[in-house]
Amino acid sequence: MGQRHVLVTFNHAPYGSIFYTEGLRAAVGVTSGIDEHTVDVLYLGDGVYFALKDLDRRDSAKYLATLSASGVSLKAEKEALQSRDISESDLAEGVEVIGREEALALVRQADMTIDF
Amino acid sequence: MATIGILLTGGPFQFENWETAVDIGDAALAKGHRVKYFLYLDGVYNPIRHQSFPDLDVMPRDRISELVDKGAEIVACGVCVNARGLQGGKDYVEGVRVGGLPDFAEIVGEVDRLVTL
Repeated sequence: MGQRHVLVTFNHAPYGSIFYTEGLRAAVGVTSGIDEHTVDVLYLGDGVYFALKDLDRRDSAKYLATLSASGVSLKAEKEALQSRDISESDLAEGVEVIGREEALALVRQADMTIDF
Repeated sequence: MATIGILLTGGPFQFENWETAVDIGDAALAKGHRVKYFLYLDGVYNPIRHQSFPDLDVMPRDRISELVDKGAEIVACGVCVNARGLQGGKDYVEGVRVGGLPDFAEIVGEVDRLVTL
């Protein structure tokens, strides 16, 4: 038993599957144990569509609120945004854009990575 | 001896994630390691005892029973179980426990490596 730092990545678009919200539920769940694990959330590939500001987030709002209250920010990979022609002005408030090198650093720093 | 965690989100009869998850666990147990599974999303369909499919010689539930017999710990997400009408896992093979995400958090704290499938 021990506290772990967990990186949760999202690679699926927020349409066509339930990974985007059930992955957030899992991210909240990881923080719920007695070990008080810490979590980073990173959107990669088609997962960055979740960062768009006009997205309907009603089904994931409570998980986002819990993560936010825990100090977890949503990070989106810059290269994935660029390749999909998404500008930073298209993103929801609070989404942090990081480059691929910084994303790799998150992977290196994490004790484990969970992919959704 | 290491402890390996496996998060399985894939169900049976459509994708092969379950079989990969079982093979990894089986190999780890054979080498004396401990294995802990958390079944999430459609992964909770894998241990149902009433499975039947003519093109498969061995059902997922049989492989899972073998893992239990060999000492694997297998926990299914209760919200996912009930969302799919599985009624608390009443039709699961012996040894598979229905729990919740706090169990997954515990697994995260206990394992040396976590594999997501």
